[in-house]
Amino acid sequence: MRKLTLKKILDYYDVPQIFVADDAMGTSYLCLLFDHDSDGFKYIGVQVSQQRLDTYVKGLLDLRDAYLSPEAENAVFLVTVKKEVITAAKQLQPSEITEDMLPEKDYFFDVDDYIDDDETSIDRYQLDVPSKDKETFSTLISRMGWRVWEIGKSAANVAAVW
Amino acid sequence: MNYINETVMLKTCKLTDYIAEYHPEWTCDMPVGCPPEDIIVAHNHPFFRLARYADRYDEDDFKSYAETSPDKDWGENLPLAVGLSVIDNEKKARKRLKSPYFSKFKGIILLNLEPKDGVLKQTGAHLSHYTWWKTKRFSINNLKMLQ
Repeated sequence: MRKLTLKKILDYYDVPQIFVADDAMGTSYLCLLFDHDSDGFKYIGVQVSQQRLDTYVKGLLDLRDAYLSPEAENAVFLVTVKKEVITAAKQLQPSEITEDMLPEKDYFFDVDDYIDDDETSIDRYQLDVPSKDKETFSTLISRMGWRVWEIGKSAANVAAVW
Repeated sequence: MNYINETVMLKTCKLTDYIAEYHPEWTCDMPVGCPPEDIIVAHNHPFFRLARYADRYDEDDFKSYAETSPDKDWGENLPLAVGLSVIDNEKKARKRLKSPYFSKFKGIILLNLEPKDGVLKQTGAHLSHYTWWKTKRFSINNLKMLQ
């Protein structure tokens, strides 16, 4: 049983769905939620190198393969989270990895709208847009996949874009 | 598929201004500082939430972890535990059904949120993900299940 330290949450929906945690030796575990009960949350975790982790975060590694084809033997664990304590509770042998722990095929990391805190990946601009052009402006921006938030009804109808 | 048939917008807002205008009653007790002061208010904006069944939904699909486990000590995670996750992109919401945790989930609910329904903030590692702190005025009637 190894205590892990949360390093980064990569996906969140109601609770962390995918996160990276390190053990005392600095080994990273890529963890995916598969169940929860009154006792806590259960994740399947796999020890990963930084290179493999980078490959995943770039959207180039199918998450299912991360667990079925780990970089080393004995690298897959049942990871539990209870009262914010993260524990690599049990090493899983290949025969113990069941379908209900695994994602479907082609479950790649969403890169296109990922906010990487390690990089300045988003620039924010403030533009002055005439009120009469509001609809055209919004249409153009949405076509580009950018965000428009109207931040106030100032005299110049200022809009913020990112 | 285009769900936007009227002017839709996400507007940034101060929580104090929102409270002054809409007098919200939150669906559960909010911890201090929650919702945050810098929030987003949706004006007929589409969001998507996963549902347990393909063809129906009920109140349980809209209960936060704090509501389903009121006696649990959520610690620093309480502000997120009292909120609900919603996604602003159907494709990205649907993709989540591939994960093992959501393999038991079958459907996608379309929500066209209005100011009365609560406030939001983009949270998490993806721009498409928002935490929604809902009010008691939000009604589950007339929501649309997407096939």
